[in-house]
Amino acid sequence: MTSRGTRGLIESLVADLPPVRRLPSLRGLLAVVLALWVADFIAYRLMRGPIDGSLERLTASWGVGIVVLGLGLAAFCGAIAGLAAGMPGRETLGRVTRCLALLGLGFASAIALASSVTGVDGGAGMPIHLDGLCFSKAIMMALLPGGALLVFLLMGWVQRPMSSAAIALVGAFGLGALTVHLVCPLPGARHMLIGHLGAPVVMSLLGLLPLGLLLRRFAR
Amino acid sequence: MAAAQAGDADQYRALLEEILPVLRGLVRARVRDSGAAEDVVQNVLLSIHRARHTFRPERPFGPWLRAIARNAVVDSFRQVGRRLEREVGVEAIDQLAAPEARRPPEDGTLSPRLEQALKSLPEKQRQAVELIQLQGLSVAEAAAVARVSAGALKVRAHRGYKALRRALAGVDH
Repeated sequence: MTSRGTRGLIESLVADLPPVRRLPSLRGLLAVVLALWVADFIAYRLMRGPIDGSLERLTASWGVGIVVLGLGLAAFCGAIAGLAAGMPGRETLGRVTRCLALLGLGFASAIALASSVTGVDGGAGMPIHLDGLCFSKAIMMALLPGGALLVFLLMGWVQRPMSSAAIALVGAFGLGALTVHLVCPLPGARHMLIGHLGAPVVMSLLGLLPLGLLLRRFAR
Repeated sequence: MAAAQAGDADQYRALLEEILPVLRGLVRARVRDSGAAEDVVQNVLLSIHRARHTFRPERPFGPWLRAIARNAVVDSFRQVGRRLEREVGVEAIDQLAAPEARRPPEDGTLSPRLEQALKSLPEKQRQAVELIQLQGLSVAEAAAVARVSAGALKVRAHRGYKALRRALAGVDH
């Protein structure tokens, strides 16, 4: 009875079979996301105008350098892991990049937190609204590349909606935070922690449930 | 699969029939009951159908297929678990009624009380209960007969079971 039902199901699946548009390769989708990020970065850099000592700041302090590295890992590996989450058969790549992204974000946050608590990296007297300003800029900068990343994820076939949503959000907002961190001239570990690293952490926590439910509904 | 993505029904049928023994082996390694295993196999086939746009011809087919099958099996276990928690089969419904109202197992006919309770259900709920519990169809088969999605059919059946329980409990009291 049920075996005949399986044959019947196959017949119903192949009946009036419409052609489907194949999902582009992971490499192609990643290239689009990164191109949007580069365009975003250049536009932001041009809008900001000349920034004194921006590049020197990145190399002068080891704390800033570690945050660049950590945010870079979170952004790029998170983006790869987010895209891989919608592609069956790419689980190993997804697992490795997810671990690297979380490791980068966690390590950078831990270093920034430790520097902030011990006061090693200066900037303690800076007004707190400047942290909020960079936080909101990081979210704005994430809209274009991050939005593309989330759309690509929705086009795929997501196996674990909640964890896929979490890592995609880390990647998406990591890209925005990285843009801000590379351009921002403000010093201080607390500023980096709240204004730059805070965006991927807070936004992935806030967006986890809505995006997870969206993926469960539309990407399965 | 590349041909299936282009809409070639014959190639797609051939592919699904070719992978069917592999899927059955994969599922039956985890599900002992053959009826339940066949339900899971059907869920895996539905998942493959829905995810067919994600296959890339330059990538190997095996890992793609196994990833979808593995997750569809896990999803099926979750669904079955939820169904067992929520639904009550005919045997359980019979237990709610008085002993004399139980369905005689040897001729397969319904007891008058159960028949009366079934008739009191809304048409769509009654159809869902009859297709699954009395005609023995799987959820996918019953959904195809009722021309609704599997999810909608499960909801109708679930509501039907609850209404039946209420109706039978009311008859007893």
